[in-house]
Amino acid sequence: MSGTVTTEHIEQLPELPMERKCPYHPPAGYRDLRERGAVTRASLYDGTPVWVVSGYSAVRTILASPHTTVDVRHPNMPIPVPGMASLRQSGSPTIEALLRTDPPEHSRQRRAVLSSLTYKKISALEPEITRRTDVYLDRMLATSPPVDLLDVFAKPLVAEILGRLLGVPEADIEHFQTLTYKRFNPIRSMTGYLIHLLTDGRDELREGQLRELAGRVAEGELSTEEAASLGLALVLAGQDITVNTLGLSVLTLLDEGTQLDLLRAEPERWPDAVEELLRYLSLTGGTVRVATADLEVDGQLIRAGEGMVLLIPAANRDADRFERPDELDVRRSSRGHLTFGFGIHQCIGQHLGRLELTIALRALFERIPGLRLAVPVEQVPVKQGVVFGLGRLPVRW
Amino acid sequence: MTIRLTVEPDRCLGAGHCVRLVPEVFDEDDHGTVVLLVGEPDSDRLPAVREAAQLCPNRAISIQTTQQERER
Repeated sequence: MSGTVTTEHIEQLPELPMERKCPYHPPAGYRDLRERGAVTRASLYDGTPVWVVSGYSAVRTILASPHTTVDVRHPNMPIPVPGMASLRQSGSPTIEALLRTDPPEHSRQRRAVLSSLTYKKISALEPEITRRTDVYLDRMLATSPPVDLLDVFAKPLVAEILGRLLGVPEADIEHFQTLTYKRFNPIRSMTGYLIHLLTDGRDELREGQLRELAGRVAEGELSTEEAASLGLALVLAGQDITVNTLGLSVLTLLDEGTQLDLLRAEPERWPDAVEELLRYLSLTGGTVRVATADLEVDGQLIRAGEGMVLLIPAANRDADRFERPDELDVRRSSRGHLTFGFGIHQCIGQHLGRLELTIALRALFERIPGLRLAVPVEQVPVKQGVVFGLGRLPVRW
Repeated sequence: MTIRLTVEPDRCLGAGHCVRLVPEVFDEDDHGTVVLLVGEPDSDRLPAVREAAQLCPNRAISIQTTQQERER
C-alpha cells in the first residue's frame, strides 16, 4: 500500500456531498476546503478518495484542459451523490448526450443543437419571452394569494419557452409542460414524445430546434434516438436549474431590500444583477472529470486516471477573484463567474437562461411591487441534491 | 498603441461572449461561429476586447498589442 493511501486513512478527509444550510450560500464546508487548498483531497459518500477543486483559477484551468474526460463510464469518474450511481450502469445514450460525451463526438452533438441557441438567435426571442412572462403574471394576479410562485409562474414559463424553442406544436404546449415538470421522472415519457415529434409528428413541428434535428436525421447525420436524446438533454439541463435560479433569486432579492431598491431605481442594471445572482447563488453542482494525462494544478499533481470534483459554487466565492465574495452586489461586474462552466462543455443554453432570468425578474418586481414571502424564510422548503433548489416558494402581494 | 486581433474559427464553440460584449468588433455567423469585423480596433476598445478574450471558453481570440514607435 502506498504512503499516500495510508495518510488518507489516518487523517479523516472532508466528506462530499455537503449540504447547503442557508439557501443563498454554498455549503459552509466549501470555504474550509478552499482554505486547505484550491486543489485538495476529500472522500465521496461511499468512501472513495477524490481530488476536490475549490479555487477559481484551478477550476477554470481544469475545465479548459483538453486532458480530461466527462465519460461517466470511466471507472474512476466520481459519483458525487448516490442517485447518480445508476448513470454509470445504464450506458444509456439518453442521459449521456452532450453533457457526458468527449470530442470528437461532443463537437458533432454540440453543432447539432447550437444553431438555435446562439447569442443572436436567443436575443431575437426577447419579445416572445416578454409576452409569455406577462401572460403568466396576468394569470397569477387574477388568483388570490398566497400562491406558489414556482407552480404558477417559474415552472410553466420556463417549460413553455423550452417547448417553443424546440418547435413543439402549439396544441401540444400544455402536454409538453406536463411532461417537463409534472412527472416524477420525465426521461421515459419525454423521450417517447420527442421521438414521436421527430418521426410521425414531424409535419406538425413549428420552426425550431426539433425541426432542425429532424433535418439532420433525414440527412443521416444523426439517428432518431440521438436527436431525441439531444432534445432531452436541453430539457433536462434547461428546466430545473433555471426554475430554481429564478426562485432563489426572488427569495434573495426579497431579503436584500437595498439591492432591490437599487434595481427599481435603475432598471438598466438588471442584466448585471442577473450575472451577480448567477455567481452568488451558483446552483451548479455535480461537475466531475477524470484526468486523461498528468495535470499540475495549483502545485498539486493530478495523475492520469484520477477523479476530480469541481466545486463551482466555491470557485465563485473565491476572494482571490471576487472582492467581498459572500456579499451580493448587483453593481459589480461578475461576468467571469463559472456558473455556466468553462471550456468546451460551457452551458449551451446560457444566453437563454440569462435572458429568461432578466425578463422574468424585472417584470415580476415591476408589476408586483408588493411581492413578499407568505411564510417566514426558514419555512421555505428546500431540496438538496445535484442541483440545490426550492420545494415551493409561497408568496403574496 | 496598435491592437491586432486574430480569431480561430476552428477553436470557436459559438459561446457568443465576444459578440455579446463587443458587437462592434465581433460578430457570429448563423452557426454561432465568430466573425471578426475589425482586425485592428481603436485602443479604447482594449479593455472590452480583453474581457471578451478572457471569457472565451476555448481561447479562440488572440490579442497582440504594439506600442507605436515615436522616434524615427
